[in-house]
Amino acid sequence: MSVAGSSSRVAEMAGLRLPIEAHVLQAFVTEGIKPLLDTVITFGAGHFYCSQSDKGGLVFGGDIDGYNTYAQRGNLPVVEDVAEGGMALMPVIGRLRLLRSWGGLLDMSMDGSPIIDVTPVEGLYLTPAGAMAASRRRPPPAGASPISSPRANPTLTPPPTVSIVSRKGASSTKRAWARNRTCTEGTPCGSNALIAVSALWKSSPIAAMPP
Amino acid sequence: MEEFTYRGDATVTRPESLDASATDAWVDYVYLRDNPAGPHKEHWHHSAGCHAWLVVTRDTRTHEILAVEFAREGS
Ligand SMILES: Cc1cc2nc3c(=O)[nH]c(=O)nc-3n(C[C@H](O)[C@H](O)[C@H](O)COP(=O)(O)OP(=O)(O)OC[C@H]3O[C@@H](n4cnc5c(N)ncnc54)[C@H](O)[C@@H]3O)c2cc1C
Ligand SMILES: [Zn+2]
Repeated sequence: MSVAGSSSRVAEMAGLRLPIEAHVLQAFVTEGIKPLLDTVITFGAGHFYCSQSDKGGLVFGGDIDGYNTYAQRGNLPVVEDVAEGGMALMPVIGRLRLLRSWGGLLDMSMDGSPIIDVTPVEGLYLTPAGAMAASRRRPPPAGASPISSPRANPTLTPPPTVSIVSRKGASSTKRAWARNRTCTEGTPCGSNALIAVSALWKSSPIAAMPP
Repeated sequence: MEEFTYRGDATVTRPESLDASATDAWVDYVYLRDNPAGPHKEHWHHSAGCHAWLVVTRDTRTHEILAVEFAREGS
């Protein structure tokens, strides 16, 4: 099962109740500019992230809107919040015009950890669900999932995450759970980006513009 | 800046007990959600106003608000 924001609805058809809420995340694109960013930059404190598309537009976003929704459209307080984060990290962004914004659904797990798991229903597997908002602890999209079906590949050990998916009516003693941490080892998220961004403005064509 | 703050699903009930025997009830409370596409009962806090806690019934497909009651009356 790999249906992103529809996970709870599709799982319900199989009698499953998931540790998931559907939330909306907004994204924003500016007019095209000369090459400025060759990586994704982000900072956790304001939760803003930005990259540049091949066509030159800066693509950026921040927090989810923060309430359950299937409406696929965002609200203005988050637009303000994201713009504020953008101005804090890279004030040059204030000189650009926004071309468009949109909202899409995200499955959010209750603790922000991704879920890749077997389910109590034979032959039904959950592929990445439960993204923490993009670029922080996001699991790979399903197409990039490193997990293939244990049935198709019997040598593959099922993933270590233990399910907290509950089957309606199933004995609760069969339920176990574990947290799947993706961000506790290695480089703290965002630190590479901060290093990259600090080196960036010196050579930036926009930074050279008068305020 | 938002006048009202979303405080989550109002349909789940916090278990009274902290015993190990209540673990399943805690898992249900902390993790499992109906996540309906349609009317949803949820807590909102009038955080930049009178600080009342409200139970709002809102359609998650349209954002239409169907009912609002004080949390203390709604529980
Ligand atoms: C606004 C926004 C901006 C983003 N920006 C970025 C970014 O800049 N960079 C980045 O790397 N990631 C970004 N992401 C995240 C990225 O888009 C997702 O992580 C990725 O698309 C998830 O892939 P998926 O295959 O799991 O789900 P999806 O791409 O959502 O695919 C799920 C599919 O399931 C289908 N489906 C649903 N129900 C059923 C059903 N009952 N039967 C059959 N099919 C069904 C849907 O129609 C859909 O096609 C962004 C997400 C959002 C919302
Ligand atoms: Zn009030």
